[in-house]
Amino acid sequence: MKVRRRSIVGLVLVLLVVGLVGAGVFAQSDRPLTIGIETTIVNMDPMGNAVITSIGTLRNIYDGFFERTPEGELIPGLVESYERLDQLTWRFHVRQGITYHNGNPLTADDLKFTLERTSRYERSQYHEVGLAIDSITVVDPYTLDIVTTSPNPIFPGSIYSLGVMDKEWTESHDATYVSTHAMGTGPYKFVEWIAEDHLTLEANDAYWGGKPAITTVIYRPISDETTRFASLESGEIDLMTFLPVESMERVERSSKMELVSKPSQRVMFLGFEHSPGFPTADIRVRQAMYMAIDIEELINEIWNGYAVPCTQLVAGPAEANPGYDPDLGRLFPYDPEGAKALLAEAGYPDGFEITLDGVFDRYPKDEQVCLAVTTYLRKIGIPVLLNVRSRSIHFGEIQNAETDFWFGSWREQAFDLAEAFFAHVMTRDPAGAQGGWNAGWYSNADVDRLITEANAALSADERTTLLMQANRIAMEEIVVIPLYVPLDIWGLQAGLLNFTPRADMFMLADEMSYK
Amino acid sequence: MITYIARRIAELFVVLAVVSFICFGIFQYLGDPILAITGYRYANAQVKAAARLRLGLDKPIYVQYFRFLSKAFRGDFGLSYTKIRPVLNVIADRIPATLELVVVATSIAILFGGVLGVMAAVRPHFMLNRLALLGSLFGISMPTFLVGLLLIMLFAVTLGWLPASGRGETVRIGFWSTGFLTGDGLLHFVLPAITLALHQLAMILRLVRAEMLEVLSHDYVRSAWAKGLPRVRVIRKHALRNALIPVVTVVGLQFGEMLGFSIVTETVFQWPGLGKLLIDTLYRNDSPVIVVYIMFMALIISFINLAVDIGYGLLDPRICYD
Repeated sequence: MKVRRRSIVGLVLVLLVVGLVGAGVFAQSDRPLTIGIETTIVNMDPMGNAVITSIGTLRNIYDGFFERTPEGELIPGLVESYERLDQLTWRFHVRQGITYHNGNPLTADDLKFTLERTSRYERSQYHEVGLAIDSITVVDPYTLDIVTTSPNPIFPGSIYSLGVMDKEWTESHDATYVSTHAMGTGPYKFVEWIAEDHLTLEANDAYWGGKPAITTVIYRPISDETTRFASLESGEIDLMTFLPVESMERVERSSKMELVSKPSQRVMFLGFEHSPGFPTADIRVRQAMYMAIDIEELINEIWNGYAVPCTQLVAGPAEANPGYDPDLGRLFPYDPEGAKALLAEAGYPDGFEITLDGVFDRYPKDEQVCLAVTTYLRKIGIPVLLNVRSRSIHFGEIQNAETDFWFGSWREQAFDLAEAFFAHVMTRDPAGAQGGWNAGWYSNADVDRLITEANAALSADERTTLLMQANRIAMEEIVVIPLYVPLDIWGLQAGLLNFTPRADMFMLADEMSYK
Repeated sequence: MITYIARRIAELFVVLAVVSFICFGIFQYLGDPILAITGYRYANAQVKAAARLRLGLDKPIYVQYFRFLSKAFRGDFGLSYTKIRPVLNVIADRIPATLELVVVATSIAILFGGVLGVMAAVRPHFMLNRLALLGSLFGISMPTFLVGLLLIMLFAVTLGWLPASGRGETVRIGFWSTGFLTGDGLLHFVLPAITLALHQLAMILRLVRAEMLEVLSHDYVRSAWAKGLPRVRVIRKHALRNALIPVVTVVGLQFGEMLGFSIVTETVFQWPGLGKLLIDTLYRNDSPVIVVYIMFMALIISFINLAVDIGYGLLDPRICYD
């Protein structure tokens, strides 16, 4: 027994030494960078899924029409410049002299193909994009005219998460191949993908934006946050997304790790039924429910302070989010006694029956927050029941308007209030997309009109003013109870990387370099 | 014997039909699969309706079920909604990782559980054996995720000896990717295999001990002692062999279960195997994968049961199936 144990220790030692020597041989820039991401990459098709982690990782391989700075400001990408010819028509000038990883040149045809594929490819998850386009004309190999079906001043921003695909490559392979391989114009080339295990990328030395500093990058999905953190602590990964709040203290005490945090673009809120006949259709009831919630306490107790209270449906800041109102504070401050009085005045001194539909497997701390909200509401005398369920059921029920009171969330991907309002606030159109997440059937003609007018406005300032008006009306009417904006938290090996967190959560390796 | 096997295989088809039908029924309540196809964010009612029509999801459930069956008989199990790959390939890709892990874990469990169990029965008052018996209680009652996390904290984080997650470096031989052929791959087996083995090890230990105690009290064992046969021979040939029958059943059943449903261990260690696939596809409402997955597991478990029954016959010649 003794001999065996000694030989195992010996084996481990030998492997460790081999590993260390091996690591020493690498020059620093050749050291592979391993990034632990919080969920598996769904598939390799840039429009085959809309999961941020997937599209944000694929963005290393596929360039977009446009790019964004880490703060969210829209900057040129493969489209070098654009003009708005009239309310409906956009002219895109495509960057010249760019080749795909397989050597094909990038032309306006590829951009046209990509936009059309959003609604033609049956497994696309970006149908909305293609359906909002009336026609696309290739003027010359580097110029493209796009006519939208209705005025959309944020059209360039709304297509920014789409990766541009090579027409020839995409058409010459079947759907399964395109969903398991990747080939674009981006800073990194696809090397290998083993689902649920790793994605390996290699620097594209000929990249138009300059050769990336780090040669090899490995993305490893590790869905369990405790394991992901253990992998960071043991040095298996260099950088991780969604550092669990519980581990924060450990990082702060450690000299080996550091953390970077940034308010996310995600807004957490409570949505409710506005249809006549429901208690929550009465604004006094909504106001009482809002006044019942002590958001500071919730953030400190559940989030250890790693979230910020919010008062509207977009996270800000105003420079990145047109329509965000920096002067809009909490309209109905925490006041449980006042809330009780309001409830009595509305005719519900003993509360009413209501069930909060929550989720337990989607957001950090989701279930605890739902539980806390239930407790706050019970304190003012509303006997709320809690129904937490898996995300596979939760989101379908919201979209199908099968809930009266729910724990909602929105991450604004276009960085624009009009998008968030289109989904959550504008009158629900059962046959269309407008109000697709407005499960409570909130409807206010003024808000609808202001958003529509804003989208037709040609000047950015006028548009922002209109959006802010709509924002103010909806929030004064308590369309939802805004709760908090969680902080996105990344953990990394101390002193290893230059890393700037991005508001859109994309993990772009070409923006990173070794110290 | 042959008629017996044939009858069992016929029964298997009935089981598969029932299992697949139940799966189909349950999916009515597991959320709307259309969102897995069109996405949560950008699809409107029209797009969803078109996708429903294209995939026949607008039809009544029994129509969908018979369409699935008729396609399945032709070997076409469809494409995964989210992975956009043939369902069978999606599942087949995950088999090597899980099968290798389960084989290692089961070997650990049988080896240690068996030896410790026999020792605990033969020398019940020996201190170490008492400790092993006590330890087995922990093995049975500790939740898997806790064991996994504790092992990670100790061996990966504090001591830094073993990797915390993943499968490490693998070698591809044909369609099979194996972790047995690299040092890195072998190291990655240690923690998940121990975690997965622990519960089964404890069960085997207690089962073997209990069975051995019973068998050792039988007359024929006493006669064997009395004849003056060597100790090892009595224990191995006379006692252990007869004590093994229930153990074989448990090992067999657990093998199948570990193969299909090691969800916790695979999640904690980010092991890219079948259990991880199941939980992932459940979250994403990828119903074609889930239905075929569960049918596949029913098939495997049925075959293991059959193998176990045949195994009885080999262990105990008195059992016969004619």
